[in-house]
Amino acid sequence: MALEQDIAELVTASNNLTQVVDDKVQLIDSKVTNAETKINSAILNFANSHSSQIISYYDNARHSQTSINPEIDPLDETKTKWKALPTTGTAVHMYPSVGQLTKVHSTNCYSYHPGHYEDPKHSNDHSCTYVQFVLANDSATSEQINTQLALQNSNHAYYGGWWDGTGVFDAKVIRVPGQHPYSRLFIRYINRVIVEGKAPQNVINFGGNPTLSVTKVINYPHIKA
Amino acid sequence: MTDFNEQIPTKEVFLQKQQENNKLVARGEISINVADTPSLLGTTSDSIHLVLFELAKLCESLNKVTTLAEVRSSAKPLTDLLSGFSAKVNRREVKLPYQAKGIDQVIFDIENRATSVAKILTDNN
Repeated sequence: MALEQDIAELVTASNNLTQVVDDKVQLIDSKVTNAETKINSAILNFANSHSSQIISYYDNARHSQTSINPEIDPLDETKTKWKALPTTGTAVHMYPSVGQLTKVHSTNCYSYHPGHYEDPKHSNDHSCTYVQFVLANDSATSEQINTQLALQNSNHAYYGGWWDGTGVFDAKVIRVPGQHPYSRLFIRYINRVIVEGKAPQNVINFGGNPTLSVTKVINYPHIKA
Repeated sequence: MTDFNEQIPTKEVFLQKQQENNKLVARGEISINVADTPSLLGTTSDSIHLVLFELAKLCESLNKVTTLAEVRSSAKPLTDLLSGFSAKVNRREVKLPYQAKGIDQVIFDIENRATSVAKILTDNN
């Protein structure tokens, strides 16, 4: 009798265990299905956000600070005014989204510090001139661009290097209220001090004559900058 | 600033790089400030057609002359056509790129490039 009871209890325990395993398997199945749905949706979102691009095409013409011939910023001689990048391209105008990721594709963004070859080194020129990018309304003035950039109040990267090659760089996007929204790439030059502790120098007279070639600018309206 | 892997070149290499850069910047300035390549090609084509057709007419006319007076009258249409142009060049109102480059360099380029292209075409046959 005791043996029969033991068997009956064993069967019950075994059934209970089977039920628990069944429940767990169902739970795991549903979690896996949920995760699959989430991953598929994430992949789709990722693909969509990366393939949704607003592109403007430039002509890859080589420019230098001298050929661009920008005016100096009247408030800060270490910077020039913003100037639209000249181009023969006909697909330049774009409607970029403000605050979203924006990339400038370049085949040359060359900066150097001429003071390196002075004797003693950097005795006269201790600067290097870099370039900054912004997408702004076609008819925006340098002052209007600066006003809008100040409102964004975020770090504005500068680019260039003693290195000849292709590169992809960040640009800010601003919109001047009330102006036609056609936008294009503007650049300005900015001097940085190469030798720590020295005073910043005039951007036209010091820091070399950097060069730049741009092929296209891409604004990603679904990716935050 | 970006993380370029900078390696500062020797002054000699740097100056050579600058020279290459200057050439590309000059091309950029031409395309931006003067005309794009198809337009420049159009003007080159116009120049060649003008010379070719006017030369053909001149030769045709000269081929028939028997007197010096007829030589003069053969040369007159082309002289009239181009007198304004040559006067402007002489007064430096019109400047010609080949004169700016230097005639020796221009002749060298013509000879060198013509021979090099001809050589490739011959070798490929």
